[in-house]
Amino acid sequence: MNYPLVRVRGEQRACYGSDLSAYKHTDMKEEMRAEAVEVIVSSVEKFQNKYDLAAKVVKETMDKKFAPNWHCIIGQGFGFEVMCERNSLLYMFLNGNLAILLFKF
Amino acid sequence: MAPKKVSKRHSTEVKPESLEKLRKGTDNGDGGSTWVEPTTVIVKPPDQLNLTEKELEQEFTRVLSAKDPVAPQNIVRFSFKERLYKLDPSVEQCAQHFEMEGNLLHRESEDGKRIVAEVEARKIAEQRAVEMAQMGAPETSTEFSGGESKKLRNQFNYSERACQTFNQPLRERATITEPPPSLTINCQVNQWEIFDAYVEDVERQKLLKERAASQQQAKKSVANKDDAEHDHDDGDMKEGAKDADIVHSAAMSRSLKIMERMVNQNTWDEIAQDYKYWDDQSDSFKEGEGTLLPLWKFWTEKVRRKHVTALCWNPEYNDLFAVGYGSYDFMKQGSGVICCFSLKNPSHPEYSFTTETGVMCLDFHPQHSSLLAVGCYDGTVMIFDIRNKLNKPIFYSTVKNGKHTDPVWQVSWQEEDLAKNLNFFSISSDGRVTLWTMSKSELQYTDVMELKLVGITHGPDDNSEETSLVGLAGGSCFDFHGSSEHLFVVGTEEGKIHKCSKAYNSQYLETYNGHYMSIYAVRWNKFHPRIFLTASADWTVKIWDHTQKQPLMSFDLGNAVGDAAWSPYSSSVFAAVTNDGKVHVFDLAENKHEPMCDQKVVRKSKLTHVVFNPKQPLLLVGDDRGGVLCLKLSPNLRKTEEVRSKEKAAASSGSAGADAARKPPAKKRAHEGEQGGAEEKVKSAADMEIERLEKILGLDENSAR
Repeated sequence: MNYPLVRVRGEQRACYGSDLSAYKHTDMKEEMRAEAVEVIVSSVEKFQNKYDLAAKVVKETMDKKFAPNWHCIIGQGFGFEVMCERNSLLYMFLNGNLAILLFKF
Repeated sequence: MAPKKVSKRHSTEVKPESLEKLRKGTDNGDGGSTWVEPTTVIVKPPDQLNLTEKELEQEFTRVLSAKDPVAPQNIVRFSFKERLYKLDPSVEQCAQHFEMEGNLLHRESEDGKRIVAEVEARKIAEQRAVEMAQMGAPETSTEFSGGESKKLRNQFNYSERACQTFNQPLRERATITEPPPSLTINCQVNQWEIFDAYVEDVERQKLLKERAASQQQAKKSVANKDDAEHDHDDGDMKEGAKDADIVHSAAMSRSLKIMERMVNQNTWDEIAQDYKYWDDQSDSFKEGEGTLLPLWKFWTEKVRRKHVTALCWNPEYNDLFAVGYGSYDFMKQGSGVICCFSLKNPSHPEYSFTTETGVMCLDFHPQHSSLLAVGCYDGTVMIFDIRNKLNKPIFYSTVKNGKHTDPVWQVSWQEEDLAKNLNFFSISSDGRVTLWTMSKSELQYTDVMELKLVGITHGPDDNSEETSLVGLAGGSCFDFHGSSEHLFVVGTEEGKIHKCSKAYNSQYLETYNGHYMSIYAVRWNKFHPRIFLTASADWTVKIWDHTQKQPLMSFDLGNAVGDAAWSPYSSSVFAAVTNDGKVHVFDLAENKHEPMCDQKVVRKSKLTHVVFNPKQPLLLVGDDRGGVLCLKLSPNLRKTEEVRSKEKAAASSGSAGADAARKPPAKKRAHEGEQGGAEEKVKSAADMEIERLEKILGLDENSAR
């Protein structure tokens, strides 16, 4: 199986189960990022077009896993200006039409 | 019933009016005589029915029942039990119009009776107390008064006892922690931005893939290079890799080369300055002594643990020289390397080539300066064209075309033959001196000489028998005579020196005995046609006249002599290197017995080779760890005939211009004169050199004898 590659600051790694995803920006640590991507990818896949539910699940899972107050935004187009904790920001594109912002504050 | 009540109420309300009247009456009157009994006046409301007596007497019978006519009869409620609406059968008939809680008690009731009894009992008790007080019984009065005082206790007559405790002061303590580090980020995203990001990503991945592919290719080509397999794909592969990316392109390598030289120029600036301008000032007052100034050291990682086996200056470019690396250790043979260094870049070789076995000797062609003849440990001879930069010789000998069976110890280019083919000689331990001719497609060989063993004690008749049985002598070095081109001397591993001619391939013209161990170097003097020197493992350097069987001079250097070389500028100067890391420079004109300079230039390694730069006062020495050191000769070590004659003239005229004569510019001019076009000057200088050497060696008398 040919996994699409996910780029993080120049390095490449395989991302499981998604059609195509690409990091735009992240300052998370390696393990957290892997976990977050997995959560996002699985929940988006599970809820298909119900982005609100997917975002809720992502938020709750992340709260459970890495201490609370995570925020997740999933959508096809939006603008944002957020304040977030360092090493806890993930901004990625998924499936070719989704932008996902996940951060903690 | 109701109207009656109303009238009654009205009548009671009227009462104050009559009271007023009454008061008026009392006010007006002057005593109790005017008091009038109050009369009742019935005031009727204006809308009161006026009924006759008869009508009033009439009786109406009305039956009052407890039924409320207004109460709804048909209340329907939802019954949750049966899950349907149901008619509520009970109708609420009770209507409450007025309610008031009273505190009056009926006299006849139980409670009433009890309270009346209590009140009466108290009255009696009081009365009795009063009676007792009147009677004046003290005991009882006190008793009562006590009871009285208890009852009427002064509410202010008490002492309050309390104490104030110290109140703990409240203290508030709090700390404020640093908020976790945060950052603000803003962005806007929409479908076309996402699309752009993906397109970019795809392109980047494509680029990465290409780069990985090219890297792999490069790796492959490098691997090929390392294998030193001279297959034809090699060049093409490298070429392909070069085209693939800019970093490895030709243009880039050129600019990198320039950069490297600039960096080196900066790094080695001091050395370059020394090389150009510095001269040991102490030479001017130290007669008969000289020094060597170490300049650059040339070494690369590739040649770790290899011996420097050959050194050769390029005849065209005075800063370029080739170094051959191999091993003199029989047990530790490996691959060979040839590096061409430039003095301008001591950190990295300009060109480098690898060979399967150790390189043993090399020589640049004197006219075609890019051609490099190489002899290897396995007996192969090769010709590299360093312009090609390919790791592949343009010609090489194989078993089929007569390669040597033992290490090739020296190669030497010759003049072109009649057919204008380039040719060179090689000498090997297998006892052959071979002439190699480069034709268009291949390397042709001719055995010029077979080095037969010569016994000193044997007679001429049994000599031939012996040689055929024992085999051939191992040649280790040779040198061709400068002017009579057929003549050459050969040094052997047995310690014998043979004078040979190209014309007679079976016989030696002369055999010189004098060395007891392998001869490492034999060199004709650059000026004098009869003189040559030999360097041997038996610790000695000897100087010979080829017309005499005994050496003219012998110098014991106290260690195996790796190599020796005549200087190109003076007939009386030569240098030798020994295994203890020393360079010995002799100037026979100054001192016939002791070296002018005897300097240890390397710490632990053995020196293997030495070579003079043809133009500059530089000396290259190679050691057995792959290092090549460049040394500058101090002014005392590079005196030419011209300098000497000038000095002599200065000394005879008594002027103090000796110092000026030694300065490098004068010397440089002398060099130019020697090498340049001034024919007469060259001749005279050369003749003077020869004369001087003859005088030193006492050859006039010798030749006369």
